[in-house]
Amino acid sequence: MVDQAMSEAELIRLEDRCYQAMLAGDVAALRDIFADDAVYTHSNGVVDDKAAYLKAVSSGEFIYRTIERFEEKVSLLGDAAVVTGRIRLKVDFKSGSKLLESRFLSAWVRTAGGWRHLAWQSTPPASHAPAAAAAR
Amino acid sequence: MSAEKVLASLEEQRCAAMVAADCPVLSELFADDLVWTHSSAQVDTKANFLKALAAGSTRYLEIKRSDEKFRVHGDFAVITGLAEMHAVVNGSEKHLHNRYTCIWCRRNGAWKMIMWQSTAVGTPH
Repeated sequence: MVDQAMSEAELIRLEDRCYQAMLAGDVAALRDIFADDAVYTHSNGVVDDKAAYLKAVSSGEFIYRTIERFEEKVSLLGDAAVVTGRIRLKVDFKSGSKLLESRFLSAWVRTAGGWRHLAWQSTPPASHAPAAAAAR
Repeated sequence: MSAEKVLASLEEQRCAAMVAADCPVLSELFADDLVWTHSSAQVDTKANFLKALAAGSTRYLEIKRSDEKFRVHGDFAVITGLAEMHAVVNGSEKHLHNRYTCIWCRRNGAWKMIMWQSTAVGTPH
């Protein structure tokens, strides 16, 4: 299995491809990158499955303008991998343009068809959260 | 038993142990490289998480999970759901309503929790 092992650089390349597809609003590429059972939890706590996420991208519900990642840490777990870090996104919503800063988790899994994006979650710092949920 | 059933039972154990502040049980369930991202975006290691629980600076009074979904891929599992938690953090009472992603990994035959991340529902974009 050593020859099939994923390297950190390869995983970052997968991530790059995913973010490029998000920026391009490339639904066909995202359909290929996302696992069929992918789950995407946005920084406002809304959860999308693959179909809902692709629909939101294709309908222009949100348009990614810039994506910057910081402090990325990769955990290689054999046939799976997880990246955590900080992310800053400029996104156009119907209500206007927003700069979103979050901690993120991005999980990948090796399927019969290759590596696929299985899960994403982003969490804004407490100062952006409702008062009741502020501390932890 | 299916992996999903095993994981469902482990999640029950985890939540019960958090409410009981049972650090030895949590220490067994958590991988040493656990990364816990709270809904405040504060990140804890296993050691820091258990320390706060042991010291009583974080107390979980109640944890209710719903809309739990399991995605098991071999030795890797992603669980998502909605967690309603009643907690006391540094003396301040919190009612948390969070979407979470929880990741477990099977290592040497035993499932270990390697990651948690939660996001408050209704956080404005």
